[in-house]
Amino acid sequence: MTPAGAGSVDPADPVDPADPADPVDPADPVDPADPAQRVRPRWSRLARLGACYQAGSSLLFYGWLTWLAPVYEGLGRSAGSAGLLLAVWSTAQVPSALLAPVLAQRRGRWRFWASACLGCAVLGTLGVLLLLPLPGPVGPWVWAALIGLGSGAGYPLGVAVIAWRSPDSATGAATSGLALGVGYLAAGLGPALMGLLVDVTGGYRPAVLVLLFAAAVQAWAILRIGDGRAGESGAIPAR
Amino acid sequence: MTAQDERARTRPAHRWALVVGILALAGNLRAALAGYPPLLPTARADLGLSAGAAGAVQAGAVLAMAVGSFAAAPVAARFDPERALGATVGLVGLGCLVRGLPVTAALVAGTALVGLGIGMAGVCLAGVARARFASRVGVLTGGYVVAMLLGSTVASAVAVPLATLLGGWSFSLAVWAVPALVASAAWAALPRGVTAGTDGVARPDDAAGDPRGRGLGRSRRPGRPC
Repeated sequence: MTPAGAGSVDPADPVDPADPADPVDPADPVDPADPAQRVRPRWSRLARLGACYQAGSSLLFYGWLTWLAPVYEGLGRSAGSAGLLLAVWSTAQVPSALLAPVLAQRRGRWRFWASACLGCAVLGTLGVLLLLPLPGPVGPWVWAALIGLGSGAGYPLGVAVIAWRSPDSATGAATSGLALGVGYLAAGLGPALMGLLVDVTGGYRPAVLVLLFAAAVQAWAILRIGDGRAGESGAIPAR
Repeated sequence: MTAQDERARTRPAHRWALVVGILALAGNLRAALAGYPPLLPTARADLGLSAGAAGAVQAGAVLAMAVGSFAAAPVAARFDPERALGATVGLVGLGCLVRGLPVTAALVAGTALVGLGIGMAGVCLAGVARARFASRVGVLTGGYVVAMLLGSTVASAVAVPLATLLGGWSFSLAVWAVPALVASAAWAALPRGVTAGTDGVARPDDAAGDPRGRGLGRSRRPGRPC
């Protein structure tokens, strides 16, 4: 077993071993006796991928939080009905936020559950995007629920996978600090960018496309983070 | 001493107290944010802000969360992560109190404090969950994220009624100081041994949490079955 985290467990990654910023590089002098050095935030491979994951996930979450109701109000729904749609979206997050990390830990299939949840969010987003001119009576509720299911699990799955792949809690906190920081940057700027697109284009489609781009970034990160291998510190503990 | 020995020293009642404390702290981490959007039109009219400026306050909160996240790891490393967690939720409560003044400067400053506190607390929470409940990170993370969601749902639902009841939108924002400060104080009041001290001994699931790095050294020993 290597003492460091999942950054090391992917020998197929040609960048990793040569990366001086990676804490698992054996050439990288990490003095475990010095707590300040041990927990200094570092852009390890896991931190970079986690940052991409959280950027996509947070943008999807805060983008829909900000724009779900305005999009449907713009289509002529009442404010009350659009608010109810947002309530459906946030209620749907509860079961997936609670269950997805547990299911992912149970058999160590993080990638499967992260992909499934993101798939739900993408399906709902596509539904909103493609059926924008004619939202059926059922359509918007299904899309809101699907997006909620998907985006509810984004944050806990991202935080949990970093905890599982980090050699100790101090490194885990430092890594999730970087990932969440980038995620909140995207979450702070993304909805404003969407607003700009709405103003410039006069429609909602380009703004919603931003969210599909966010999902693509998150999907790429999910595939790269992967499941890790059983028996290594990078793998999800099966205890 | 093995990790099992250390784990046995943390009594089940203590572990449950930790779980309840973590959920109570997490419940405050989105409430202060979610209480603002429903009050946005009222606050805008009262303060004479443009829609863009009023919206920028919320975007500023999320950017402050980013700053808090980046700053959290060094802070948690410098101080005990569990004490840092309680203190950052206290910072959220302080920010809410500041927002009780119905002036733009207080709204902006309070929101910045709230965002900083939330960003730091999120990272501390992840660290504490990993340190104290390493084998149950999945269920604990799911649990505290749901606590966040519930806090946010309640806050957005009652924001407008509270403003009416208390006679001002800023009071409705300030109310969220109460649960945040109570949870923070209760967490700080947990007896030593429940919240780990600074000696690293009482962090049962995290051998590497030992400041002397003993855990890391031990895991390098050949033949360790993992």
